[in-house]
Amino acid sequence: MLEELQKLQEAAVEDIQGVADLSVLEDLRVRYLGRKSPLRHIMGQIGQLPADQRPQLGQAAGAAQKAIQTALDSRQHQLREAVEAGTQIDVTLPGRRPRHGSLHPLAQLTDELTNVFQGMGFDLADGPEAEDEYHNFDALNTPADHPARDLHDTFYLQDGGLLRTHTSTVQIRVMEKQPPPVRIVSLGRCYRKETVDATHHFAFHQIEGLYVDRNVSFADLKGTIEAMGRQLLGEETRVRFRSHFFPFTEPSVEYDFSCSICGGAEKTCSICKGTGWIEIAGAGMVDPAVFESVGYDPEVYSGFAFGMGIERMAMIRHGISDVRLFLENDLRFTRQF
Amino acid sequence: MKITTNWLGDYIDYSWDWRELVERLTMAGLEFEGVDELGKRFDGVVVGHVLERQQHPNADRLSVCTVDVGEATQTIVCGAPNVAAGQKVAVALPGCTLSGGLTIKKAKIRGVESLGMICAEDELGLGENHDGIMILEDSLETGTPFASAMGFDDIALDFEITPNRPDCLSLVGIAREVQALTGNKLRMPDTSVKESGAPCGDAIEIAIDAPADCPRYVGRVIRNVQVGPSPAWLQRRLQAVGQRPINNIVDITNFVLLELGQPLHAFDLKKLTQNRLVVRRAKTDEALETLDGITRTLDADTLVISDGQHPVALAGIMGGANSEVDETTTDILLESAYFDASRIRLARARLGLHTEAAARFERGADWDICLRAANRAASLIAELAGGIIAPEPLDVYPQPQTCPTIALRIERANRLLATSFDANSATRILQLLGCSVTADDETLQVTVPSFRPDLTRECDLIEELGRIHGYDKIEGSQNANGPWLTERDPSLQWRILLRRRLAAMGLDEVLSNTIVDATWEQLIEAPTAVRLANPPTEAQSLLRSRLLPSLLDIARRNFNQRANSLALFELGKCFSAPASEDGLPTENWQLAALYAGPLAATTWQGPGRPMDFFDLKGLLEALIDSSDLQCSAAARVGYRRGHCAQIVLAGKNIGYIGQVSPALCSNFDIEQAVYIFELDFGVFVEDLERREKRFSALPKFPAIERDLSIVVADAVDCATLVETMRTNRLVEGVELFDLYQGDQIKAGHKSLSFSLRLRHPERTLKDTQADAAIEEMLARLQKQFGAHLR
Repeated sequence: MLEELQKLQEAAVEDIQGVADLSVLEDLRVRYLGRKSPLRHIMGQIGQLPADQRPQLGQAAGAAQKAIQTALDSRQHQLREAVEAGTQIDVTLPGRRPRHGSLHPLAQLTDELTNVFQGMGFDLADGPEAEDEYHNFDALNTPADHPARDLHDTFYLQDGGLLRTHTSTVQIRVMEKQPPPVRIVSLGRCYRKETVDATHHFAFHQIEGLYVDRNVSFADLKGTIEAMGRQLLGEETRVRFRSHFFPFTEPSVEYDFSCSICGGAEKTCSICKGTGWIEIAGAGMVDPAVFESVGYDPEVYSGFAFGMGIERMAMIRHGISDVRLFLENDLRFTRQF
Repeated sequence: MKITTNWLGDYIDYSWDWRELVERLTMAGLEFEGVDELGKRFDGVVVGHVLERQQHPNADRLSVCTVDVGEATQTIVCGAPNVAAGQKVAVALPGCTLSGGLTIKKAKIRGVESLGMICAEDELGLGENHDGIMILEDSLETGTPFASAMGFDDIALDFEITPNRPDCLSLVGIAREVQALTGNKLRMPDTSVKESGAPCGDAIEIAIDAPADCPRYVGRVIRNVQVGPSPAWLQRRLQAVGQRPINNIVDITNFVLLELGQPLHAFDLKKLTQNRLVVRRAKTDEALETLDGITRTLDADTLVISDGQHPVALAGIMGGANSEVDETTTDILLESAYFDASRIRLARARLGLHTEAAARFERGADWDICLRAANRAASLIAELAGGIIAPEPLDVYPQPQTCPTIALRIERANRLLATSFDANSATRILQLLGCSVTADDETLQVTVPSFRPDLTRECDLIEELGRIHGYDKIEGSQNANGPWLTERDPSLQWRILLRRRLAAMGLDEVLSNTIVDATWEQLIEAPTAVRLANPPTEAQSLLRSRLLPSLLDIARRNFNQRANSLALFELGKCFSAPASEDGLPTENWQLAALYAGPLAATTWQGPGRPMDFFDLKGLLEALIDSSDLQCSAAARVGYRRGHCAQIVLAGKNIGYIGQVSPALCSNFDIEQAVYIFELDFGVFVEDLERREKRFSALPKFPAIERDLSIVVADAVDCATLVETMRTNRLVEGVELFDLYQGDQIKAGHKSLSFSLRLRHPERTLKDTQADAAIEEMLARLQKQFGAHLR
């Protein structure tokens, strides 16, 4: 019987190794290990042998079964590998792309600024683009013959009203509607009668911030602008405040961010021209005259306001050299961001 | 305002180089515009001493000179006829480039080696003269740089002055800023005069008819002047700040204007025929030829100086040609007045005339300096033009002005600025700025100087403290009133969310111009366009009422740039009249999306498929994501007939969807089919805000799926059939999966195949019940729409 087992195993292994097809291999599995296989037959007979022969033959049968099983598994593995290798695809063919859209770079920055200021506790406010002279000028301490009106070349509407020249109008609209405290930002489109060139457009976007409460100081303005600078241009960003003039703030300042491109090291830097500072925009403490025009008591409340051009910041951040690109909507431009 | 560093040094000491000066003034509020290092163009030019001159051996017209240039003695060949031994001359050394662009090289001229060039005026950019070399003063030290020897080593700085600071439109004003920043003492120019002869009043009489427009008018008479060119130093100063020297009298008035900020005007006294001057409003249609040679028609808003009959000057703006000082002038009347700012501003704007004088008056001049400025100019005229100053200047000043006194609470300043001033430190800053201050405990009484019309309130003084102290010394904080709960405006959140959703679904966001071509609005027959009174261009004159034309324009641009297919969206404001309650146009947010071109490009996997109405409608359905959305056939300007639907959400019309009319497309040079929807974003968002996110229990019992193919007449809407099927309460869902129109069915009919999902909420549905439901449904469809099973 031992001899029989030996022969059986050798025959099985030889057959298995000669198989080239997985289904034939499956047939062999049945033939050599199935219920009706010679091996099973021999194993069935072992119980009838004398007790002293059983262990030896039992072991031998087990070993044969194991050897056949191993041969089957290994051949199956080999054959499967061969099949897989035979159906290899050209992975370098181009993929089937879903269309992917894009957000306009100005809108992206607007979204980001919204996030930054909501994180600092500012609510969002919206106001009309077609405004009256009162909200655009008079309420902002800029009466009709004020020299500061020279700074704005304004678009007027034929049937009255104008297109706002800054988002500061929203300050007035918000304060007219609610008592202090107020902490808002407003983002939107403004218009000035400029000749369109690489750095000017008659339509542009601004962010306006306003914080009014008891005890709001210049330090809070600084802290807020510094936080904005760090979030927009990186942790290393420093801010400097230069004295300036706006009719609706007193004191008034302009603020600059340290140059994130060259750090002031390069004379030829296209962003800061080697000064190390990038002029950003204006800010200041709300002028008491503005509080009076909305019925806030300037003896009780103080506040700060700031503005910033969205286009300018987007140009700085992305290295965009021509402001006209934003409203031209060439997708080869807008999809870059 | 242009200054030079040397000129500024006449009035104040400072140890900063120009960069530091610029930095400090910038931080204090003067905006730096540019620098011109005037001496740079003379780099490499030195004072040379001609030791010897000899005839050139090979050329009649050339000289060979031995010139001491300080460090060495050089041989220089010179072609000028006037060169001679002993002269001090300007020598351009080899390697230097002159302002005209000529680079000097070591050269052999007719066999003699020449190391440099002896310069003529024009070669140095100092004038037109090329008759001979420039001969310098003997006292100049040999070898010193030409620029410093001649006083050309000055640095011109240009600053932009904000409209609230008329005082900084003068050298003295800027010097006062330096005084405040350094603590060094300002030196005012000498304004004393030596007078003689008959008093001014003998020569002329001055009257003010409009005292509100002209609160003060000072006149000084100077006799026996000799009009001629100004001395070199004066010409140089004016040139350094970009002014053209004219003659000594005009140059002196310009010099004093720049020095003190007070505009002056010199009349030729003999041309004032009636020996009197009247300050009055112009009469309608009165005319005056101004010094620029233009005759200007005046009106009653313009203030003039008249000679008792005709205007002789536009007050505070420009003099008249009829009283101009010229070479023959001997006696002059010097005007130094104070005009009302808004009057000058109005007149200047009306005449469209910008002058140095008007720039100062319209911002607010200094009423106190009139007489001193006149004296300063008079004594310079006496010195440089040989005039005799008449005594007893005329000073018509009906109502003397006073300087306001403002209370400044130190505590308030510190609270607003987050600083720690005390009475002493605050007083010191204000005094350095020219204020006089008396301290009363914690409140200062501050009398502001006449040259600071911008300081009228406590907050103005607080700003002065802040800017001179330095904003960089204030530490930033964000601790004013602790944490704060942000109110999130839901519509603003939806704006962000929906834009992101559209981008994720493959659309590119665009932002177009709100000011559009008038023809665009005509093309969409906009009924209530909002027109600009002063549009940017003649064509771009309306505010858009819809996004459609803007998107077509963007599609055109991108097709021209060879875009293959487009999927665009814009969320933007649109405008319409009639006016709302406040008289302003109505603004609303609109959301529009545009599809054009193939849905997917042709690739190796097969051809692309053109986009159609249902691609865009599917996008709309996915975007709005509501079972309350309905589209019904409609007509709308700009859309193709029969290919347009009104979009109704929860019973409200929120916009339109469809194919853009091919005629409209061709106006934008687009040949392919374009699909678009336009939504009134506000109404859409209202619906979004109303939506509740409520849980409904997951179904406990299985559903049965059945397919149903029916044939109906073409006119029957799919939506109506679905609605009818849904009236059966077992129907949970209905999906159309096939539409057939063709030979296999009756003409004028279509076959629609639906897959229905039926479910009973409380028990397992039996097949027989499902069959019964389908039977019932079919019967109803047959009765209502003549439908029959296919």
